[in-house]
Amino acid sequence: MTGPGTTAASSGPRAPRLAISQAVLSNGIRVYGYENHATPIIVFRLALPVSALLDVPELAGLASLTASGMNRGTTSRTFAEINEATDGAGMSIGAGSGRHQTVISARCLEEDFSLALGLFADILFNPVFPDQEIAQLKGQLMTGLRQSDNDTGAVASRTFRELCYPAGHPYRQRTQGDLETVPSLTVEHLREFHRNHFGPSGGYIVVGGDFDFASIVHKFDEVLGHWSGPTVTHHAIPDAPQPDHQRRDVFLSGKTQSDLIIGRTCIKRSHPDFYALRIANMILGRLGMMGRLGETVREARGFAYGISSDLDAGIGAGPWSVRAGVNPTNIDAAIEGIKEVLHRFRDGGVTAEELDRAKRFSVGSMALQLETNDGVAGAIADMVLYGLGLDYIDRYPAIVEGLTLDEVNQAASTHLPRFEETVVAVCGPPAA
Amino acid sequence: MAIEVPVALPTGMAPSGRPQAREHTLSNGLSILTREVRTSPIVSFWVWYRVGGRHEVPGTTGASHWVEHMVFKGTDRFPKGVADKTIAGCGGVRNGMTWVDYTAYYETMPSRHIDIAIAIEADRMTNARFLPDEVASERGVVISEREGSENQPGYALFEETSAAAYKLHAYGQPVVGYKHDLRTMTRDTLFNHYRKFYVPNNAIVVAVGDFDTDEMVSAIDKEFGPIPRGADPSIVAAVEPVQEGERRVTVRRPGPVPILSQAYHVPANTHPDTPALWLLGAVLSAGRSSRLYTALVTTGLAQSAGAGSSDTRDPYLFRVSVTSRSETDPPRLEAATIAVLEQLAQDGVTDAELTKVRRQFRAGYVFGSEGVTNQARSLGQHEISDTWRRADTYLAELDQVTAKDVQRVCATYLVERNRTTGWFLPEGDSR
Repeated sequence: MTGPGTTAASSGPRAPRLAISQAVLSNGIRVYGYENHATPIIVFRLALPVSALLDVPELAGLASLTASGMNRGTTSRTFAEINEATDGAGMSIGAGSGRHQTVISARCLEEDFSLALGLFADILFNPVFPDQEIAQLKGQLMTGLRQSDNDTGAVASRTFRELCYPAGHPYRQRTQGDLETVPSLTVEHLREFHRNHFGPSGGYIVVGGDFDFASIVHKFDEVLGHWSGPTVTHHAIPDAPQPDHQRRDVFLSGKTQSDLIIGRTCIKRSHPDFYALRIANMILGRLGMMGRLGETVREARGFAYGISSDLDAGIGAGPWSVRAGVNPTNIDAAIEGIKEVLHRFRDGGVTAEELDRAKRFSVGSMALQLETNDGVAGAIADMVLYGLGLDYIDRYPAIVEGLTLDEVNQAASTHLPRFEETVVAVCGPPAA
Repeated sequence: MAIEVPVALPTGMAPSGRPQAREHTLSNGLSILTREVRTSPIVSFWVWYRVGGRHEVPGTTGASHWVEHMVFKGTDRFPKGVADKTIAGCGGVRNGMTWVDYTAYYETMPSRHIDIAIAIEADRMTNARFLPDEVASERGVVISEREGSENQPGYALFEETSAAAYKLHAYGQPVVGYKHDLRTMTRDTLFNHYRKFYVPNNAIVVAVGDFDTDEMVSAIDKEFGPIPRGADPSIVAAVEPVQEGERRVTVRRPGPVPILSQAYHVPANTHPDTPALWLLGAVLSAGRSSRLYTALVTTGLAQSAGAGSSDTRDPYLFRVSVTSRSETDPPRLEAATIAVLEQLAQDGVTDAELTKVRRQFRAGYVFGSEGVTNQARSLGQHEISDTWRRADTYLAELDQVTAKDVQRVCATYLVERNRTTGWFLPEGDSR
């Protein structure tokens, strides 16, 4: 075990102070901690490089179901006993697997930390995936997938990803699997997946709240430091070719509104233009009543209650998209409005005033993001996942404030597509 | 001029351990609640108006919510978009919300800029413009908001069940408004609604965060103090008749799975049974060891189950909502749900259950202490429904509730003659 040390302590004039300590457990798990004694709460999460990237197509959803099934019973506790223990302390412990990681997380009162850590370790090390409990969990998952298939927003999202990414690409599929693959997942698959992929290799813990860092690292090491397991081979996210411009409509009866998504594959989080593009996107579809898109499509024309644009830059090249909920009779007019805004934005760029405001929001709002332990833990997790460095919060104001008008406008015109380069997904009722 | 009202609780810390909130009243009737929380350089600043769905009648349903939208459309001092841009430029966030008893607005932002939020909120208490063109474009926006909800089977069932549960009181109407009302309501109706209810003597300002209370009250007085007191808004006099037998409604449309919604009339938040009803809701549905989860979800009958009351000024509803699994027969799910309630009414709750849910409330209270926005919201909501002091004393109230009390309120309120049962039943193929 490597002793704790504090890496970053200074802060810019308008950025919140965030002192992050770090240590390494005996088995190599890294620990990042943030002491906050304002409330007697501790939140902690262990991230492991186990995800849907490891799923084979015919068993899609296996990583996700394995994570969800870990708390359904262990070698020493039934599902009911785990629930009694967590509910009895008002704590929450959960596990979930996404596109890049499995995260096991806990939130508890400070006085219950030892209990929470013991349950956490039991769920992590000793899940038995009981037949009956897993059958129930699969039933819940299947019903959830059917609900998702009846939700216009979810169907539009899935359609959009299918248009953006080719078959087999990891960003195309649902991480939970689908109605065809989930029935074929067995408890033997779950046990084997856990045995073959869950281990300390590449894992890191983020902990925030009311504790002394050296003491809590000692406790983590006592409980988790002896854990051993397989080393997971990291799978790279392949680049995806840009799709051809196309529109796909999916109809669901019994609905009133259509969900509309316009966009395409964009950049990775590690791309040098990330910060400039994020600021541009903030001006286009985030700030105030959702930026310039909101000014035209919502405020001036009254087509949509919700309209925004998202830049989902991850380890791989995630999508950039505009999303809106629109009456089906207004879909074409809303698309035309979005097209106008997008082309004006790409061609005309942002103004110096808009850039200044976006910079001030971006830096000033960090205090809000870092107000809670969960907020801080999320920020630290991003620093680790994307290799930003533990001094990222300190450097962030300078990164943002150093962006020039040319850089932001160049990023927008380079990475935001013209409408003719996008894919369009619509899900809603058939037009009258 | 601010007048501080003596508070029964000692100054310094609230009994719960949170910093003590303080209460002031301006001479124009504006109530002010403040709490200094110095853990982050942030302030959450709220204005709560005592107006919501309960003040609407057929033809004007949705007026309070639409007014909330219009109040974001600018004034002469802060023309449209200027306030949004100003708050964003300070690193802040803002929003508004409308419910049956209230309409509320907030800004949460770095404390050194909070004066601008105070100025914006005071200005739009009286100076929102309600320009006809803006009303026209916002008509499409509020209809779009309603249509987004209509897409959800659970919302359609909620609206239908609420309407069936109430014959008279406006709590049975949707806060977002019926679509025909949204299509036909005029600019003048909205503006008159605004003028009537947006007066300082019908509002509560709540500020929580990094400030000195005297300075905060002084800043609020400077901006809000000159606003003249208005006529006291009329009192909602509707009293819902006692229900004398079960009512049933069904919503049929394409959808994924059946949903059961039960609504039982329960007293207003000020009633002594309220804490026992809070605990009853938790025993039934808080966590995976709760009664409904173990009886319905763990057994594979249901996808999810929830239960609980809302804190309202007038008598409202204790709701039990269960989303079925695809393969479950609806009558069987309904029978199993009722069996859970009847068993609790007959056999009561255990001391262990009571200890567990009290602990859950306590943990929830501590978790809720983390953010200034959460704390400000809690103070405002409690003041709207009863008194802000309950934001800090409800844990003590829960400690006074016995197992017998929980059993009694279940046996008193969650009974057939007081029940409205709603079903969402899928029909046809959605594709």
